Amino acid sequence: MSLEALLKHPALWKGRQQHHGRETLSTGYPDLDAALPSQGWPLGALTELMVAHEGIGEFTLLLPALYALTKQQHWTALVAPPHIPYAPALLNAGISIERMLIVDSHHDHKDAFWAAEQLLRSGIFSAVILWSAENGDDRQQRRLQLAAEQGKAWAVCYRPERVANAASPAGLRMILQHNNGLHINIIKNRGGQLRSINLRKKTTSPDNNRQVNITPFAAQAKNEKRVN
Amino acid sequence: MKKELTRSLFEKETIEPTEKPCAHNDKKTREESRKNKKNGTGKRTTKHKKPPSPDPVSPQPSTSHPSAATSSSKLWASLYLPDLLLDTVDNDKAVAITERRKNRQEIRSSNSPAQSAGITSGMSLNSAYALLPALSVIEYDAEREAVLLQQVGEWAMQFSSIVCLHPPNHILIEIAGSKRLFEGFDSLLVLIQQNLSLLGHHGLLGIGPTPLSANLLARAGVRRGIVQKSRLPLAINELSVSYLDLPPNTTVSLHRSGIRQIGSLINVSPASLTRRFGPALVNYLDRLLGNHPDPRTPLRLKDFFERGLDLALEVQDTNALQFSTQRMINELTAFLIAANNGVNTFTFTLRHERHSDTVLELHFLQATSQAKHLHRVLSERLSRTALPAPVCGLHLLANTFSEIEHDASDFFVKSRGQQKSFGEIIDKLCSRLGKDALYTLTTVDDHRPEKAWKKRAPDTYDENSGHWPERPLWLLEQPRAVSPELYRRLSIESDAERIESGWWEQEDVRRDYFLVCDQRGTRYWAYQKREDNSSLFIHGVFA
Repeated sequence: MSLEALLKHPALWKGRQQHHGRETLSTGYPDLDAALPSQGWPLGALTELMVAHEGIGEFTLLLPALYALTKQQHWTALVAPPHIPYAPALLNAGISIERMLIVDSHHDHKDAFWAAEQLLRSGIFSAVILWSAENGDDRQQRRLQLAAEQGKAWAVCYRPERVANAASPAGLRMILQHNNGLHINIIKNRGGQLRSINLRKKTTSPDNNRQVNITPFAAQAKNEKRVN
Repeated sequence: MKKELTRSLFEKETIEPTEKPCAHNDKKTREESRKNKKNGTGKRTTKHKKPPSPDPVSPQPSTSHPSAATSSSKLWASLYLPDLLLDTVDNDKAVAITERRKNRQEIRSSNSPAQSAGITSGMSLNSAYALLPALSVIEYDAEREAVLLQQVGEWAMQFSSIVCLHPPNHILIEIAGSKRLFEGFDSLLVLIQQNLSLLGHHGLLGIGPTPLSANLLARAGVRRGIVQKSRLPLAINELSVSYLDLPPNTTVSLHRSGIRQIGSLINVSPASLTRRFGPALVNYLDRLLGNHPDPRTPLRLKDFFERGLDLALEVQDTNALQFSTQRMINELTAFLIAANNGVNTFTFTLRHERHSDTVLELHFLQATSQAKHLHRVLSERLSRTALPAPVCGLHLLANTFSEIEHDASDFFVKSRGQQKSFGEIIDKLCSRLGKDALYTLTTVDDHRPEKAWKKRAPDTYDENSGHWPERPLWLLEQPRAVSPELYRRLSIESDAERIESGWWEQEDVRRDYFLVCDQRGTRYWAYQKREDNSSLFIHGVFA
């Protein structure tokens, strides 16, 4: 058997090339795209983000991808966000907010997981972002992973940093910290390598020059503005 | 066994198109009107009948109106429901229906557990109790039976626009007009049988060219459908006269005269029959064989749907209601299909013996008539409802309807299908999380940060535009005062943005906003009140 025929064999796993030809969802950050085997956020799989503490740009990280999806009229959902998702800020990031469903679970952990799973499974939502303040367990994460596979959706689950060492079925796991910008520590990367990336304050999204940085609009509010 | 029954219905007879051009025209118009109905062009197409399209075969438009359901050119399916009252009770225990006859309580009918204990119709109640002391007894109630027949009739309107009641226990469904819609008679009849058992009723189907012949074939349990009137005498020749719907004394005198089979009755000359048994019998036979017209009044749909159900035993747990709710939803669905409508909301009431009713209002994002979806939303809601007292009755009322989009063969079938399931998933989530839990966002033209956004129902559209100064992704529900310890660790990263607004209302806002950062890298949106700049409030997080 020639090598070429052997390479075409469906049972052969070709490591990093496995995502060729698939649709990809760029993260909007070239450094991060380069570190991921699918050249972007993994679709049909669960991404876990473990955050040290809020306010370090952990949600801003997702905005370029959410912008790209909602612009194409895909539905996205935020399940159990920790605070009010602020419409003016989302609009500033270019997101079509009429395509972003907010699911308020009234601090019920189980309801939030259930809702996220239903939304993923439906196949109607391209992206479902879930905030989980509690530790959660392996079984719940597996259900999310399966639902994401079934709905071919981009599933993201924010979890407390303390669960970073626990086992998880998620395809991609990252620890987000603050270190002169957002510091991403990839601790699990199915089909790719483990890396650490520092997103500095200047990065641009690939499809236009819209500023989707960690500190995107710092320049605008410099002047004191009087209203009325 | 039921399936087998309907499948074999047409094994010998072939369904042929009717000969008369006039009749053909009539049928065609009706089919068209049904088609329109299904496509959602009109709510009640049968009432506002469109003028028939010119037919090359017969230039004259048909004069017959569907509501004047004469026996010619029609094909009737008769549904024989011998035990309407028994169908509503559980089949686990022995139940009998009793009736007072000549100062004596007699068994009128009984269900299979009672029959297996040896209880038969006509037996006195006392002998029945002697056989089976645990027998439950329900007194025969003609009014209740009529109500049940009416309900099944309304249910049957999903199959045809012409459904007539033939009390006490026949329902006549005109099926010639529904043939094309349901892709042939066989699949239509299978569908009727399957749906009937879902409804919890047991019935026999008979198919004949006249209403009375269909009734006869159903009662006699003849599996073969008869389409043409000319074949009717041969088909019923050998049936006993007791299957005929005649007064009991007429049947008895027929037996005494030695007339046992319908064939011999037909062969007697009408004049001598009239002399012996009166004109009613001849008239009956003429209508049976289609020699005389037999006009029927079709049922009309009500403009609301209401079902009540009294539970035999009080129920403590909503899970135990599954069976009853499924049945009510099935009936609602049949009504919706018949009316070509969907529901957006309906009211479901749980009745309690010693407590005020629990009323559930169910809302659907898009009008729907799908039993599965309706039942899933209802069960989800019930499973989250805490019962204040045991349930003794159920009630369902739907009175606002709207048209639903039908999945016509269309280029946009796929996107429509998706749209529909979007509504379904929203409804499903709402039923568990509450109606207010799902929303999308919109901006409001107000400078006060807490008033610059609001919630709105998903899948409604508002124009969102405008560019805002730098704003945080998270806004806190309530601004949080910064403690002195945290204050020392904060550094201010921007100049002040002054927001003064709302002085015309109670909620006057006069603030200077700053972008502040703590040592760990968390960036906040914080403000000082202008009138009191001693403390700092965090109002948002740059997540």
